[in-house]
Amino acid sequence: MTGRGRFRFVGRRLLQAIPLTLVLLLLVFAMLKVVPGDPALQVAGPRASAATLEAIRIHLGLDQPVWLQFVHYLGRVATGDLGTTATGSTKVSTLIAAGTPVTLVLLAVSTVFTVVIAGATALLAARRPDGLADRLINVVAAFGVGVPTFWLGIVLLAGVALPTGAFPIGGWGDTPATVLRAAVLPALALSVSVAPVLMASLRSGIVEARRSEYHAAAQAAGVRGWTLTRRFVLRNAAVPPVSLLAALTTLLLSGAVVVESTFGLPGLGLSLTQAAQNRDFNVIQGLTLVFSLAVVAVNLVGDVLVALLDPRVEV
Amino acid sequence: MTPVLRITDLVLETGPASAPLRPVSHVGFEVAPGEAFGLVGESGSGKSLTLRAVTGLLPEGVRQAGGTLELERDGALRPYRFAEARGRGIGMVFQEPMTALNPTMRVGDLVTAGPRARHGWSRRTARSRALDLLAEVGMPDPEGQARMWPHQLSGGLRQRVMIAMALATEPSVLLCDEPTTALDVAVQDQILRLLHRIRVERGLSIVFVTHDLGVVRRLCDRVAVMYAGQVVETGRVDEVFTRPTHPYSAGLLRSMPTPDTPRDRPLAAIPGGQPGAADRPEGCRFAPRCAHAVPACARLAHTLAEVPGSPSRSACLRVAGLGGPPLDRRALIA
Repeated sequence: MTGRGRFRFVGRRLLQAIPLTLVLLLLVFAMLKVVPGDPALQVAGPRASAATLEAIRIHLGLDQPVWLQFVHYLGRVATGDLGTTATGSTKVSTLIAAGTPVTLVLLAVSTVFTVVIAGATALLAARRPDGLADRLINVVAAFGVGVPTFWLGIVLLAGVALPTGAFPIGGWGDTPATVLRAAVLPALALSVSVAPVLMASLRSGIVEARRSEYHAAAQAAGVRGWTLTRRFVLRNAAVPPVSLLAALTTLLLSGAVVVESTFGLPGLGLSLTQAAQNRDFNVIQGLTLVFSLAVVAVNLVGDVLVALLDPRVEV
Repeated sequence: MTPVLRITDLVLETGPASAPLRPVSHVGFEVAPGEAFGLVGESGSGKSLTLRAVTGLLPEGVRQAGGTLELERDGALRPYRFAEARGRGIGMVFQEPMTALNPTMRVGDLVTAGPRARHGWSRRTARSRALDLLAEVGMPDPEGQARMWPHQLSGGLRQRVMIAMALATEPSVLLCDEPTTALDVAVQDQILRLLHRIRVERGLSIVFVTHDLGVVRRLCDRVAVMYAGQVVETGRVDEVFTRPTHPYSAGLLRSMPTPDTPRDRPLAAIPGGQPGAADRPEGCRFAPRCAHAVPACARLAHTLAEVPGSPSRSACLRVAGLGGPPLDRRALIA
């Protein structure tokens, strides 16, 4: 693929993301339509008269056809208006703006941990396939996948944060240093379940590349050392894990919801848990939208990265 | 003249060390400067493994259990280390240009990856060398194709890239593992012509591993015929092809169609099949399929011996001077 071909590829992927986003918006919009309960009744309370309810319905636009409601919804989303929380005190957009940095830092640190853990163990395991290290890592990885994230969070709090005092017992920080320190343990809890999946993919990629004919041909042509490892093994082995990592973002996001609750981190995940407890539909709807868009965006980035790494990907 | 490459008593083993199988047992040959040497045999005869062993690139699970590998240096044959020989001395062309070129590297970078890593060539040096090499192997547009990815090239062009990559280290011996098997017939011919031209221009020695007797007859000066992990006959191509000294080579030649072969009759075939590494008979491994076998064949220890009245060497008890009842060699050709 030439440089311009890649450019076109990225452009096409961006265009493809538009209908996907519209479908997402439709689903999130429909979510509220299918939940049991009358929104007007919720606003006015059970004692309201039929006339009051009707007035509220008109005020909320619920008397209009559903498609028009959807158009209005699109318009509001486009202007960043996601409604207010159930108490009416805060805008949902403000809530999301406040939680996003926390969740982003958590996910970023956790992604770094995941990549480092998966990379190091995969390299170690691939050195001798079915050797002692490989089998040991395999067993540990199986445990990693199986351990429930919330439980691991509690264990890290009780087993590391409490006795050492090096990390806060939950909560967030206000300077970069304290923020990072607060993120370490929850990010680790999050990584443990995801890293083994990535490790397995990377390991088999490395083993496969080393067994390949192009690896042998490179060696026969005198390629050796770091060039051989970097350009003929890692470069080729990295392709499947990169697209896998993009797909694993959904896992990381749902894990973040759990971990933020366990560690009391004021991120989007905690807002979601609280909104679910309070049946705060505007917040749930807004967060669902943000999470879905994040997944779309990450997969877009993943696709582009894969196309950059593997020239055979269709232009 | 000192040979450029000599293989002596090469033994390759697989399986547990206590009860190993030997896909290749006591194979030896030598290649003179500028010579084209053919290693022919059926699949499973050990010819490709032998070639892999020369570069030390044996597949997983196969190990060299014996033998001496020597390259010419300063006028004498010396045992070599693989890491050294791969960078200069030995080049290798693989069978499948689809899988033997790294899909994630541009053709230009791939061709000079070896010498660049080894000699620390600058990007500019590597690039101009790559263009020279691509032109030498007959790429129609070296500048353009250097920027392409392997998957964007046709099979024939890929094999040319493979050859350029092998030549980049300035080898004195080029090992070719069935270099045209994966290509269609018209392209095969082009690649064979290219290899011949390069050999003449560079004064290269070439070792061809192939099951295609036509390739051997066309390009090679000398040939070794392999059967079930052993060399059964070796000699000049013109001799072996007209006056074979082993019943197996004779059978192979009879099964090769020529323009005179009548089309309405089936091609001659050797009855039976080549034994695998696990079930090889004692003595001569070809004896159970051989029309000329005598009881003594089952006790024969494998050696390549002089043949009276022929420059070839043979492992056949009845043809070479190995003490068996003599066989009139005309019986082999008939």
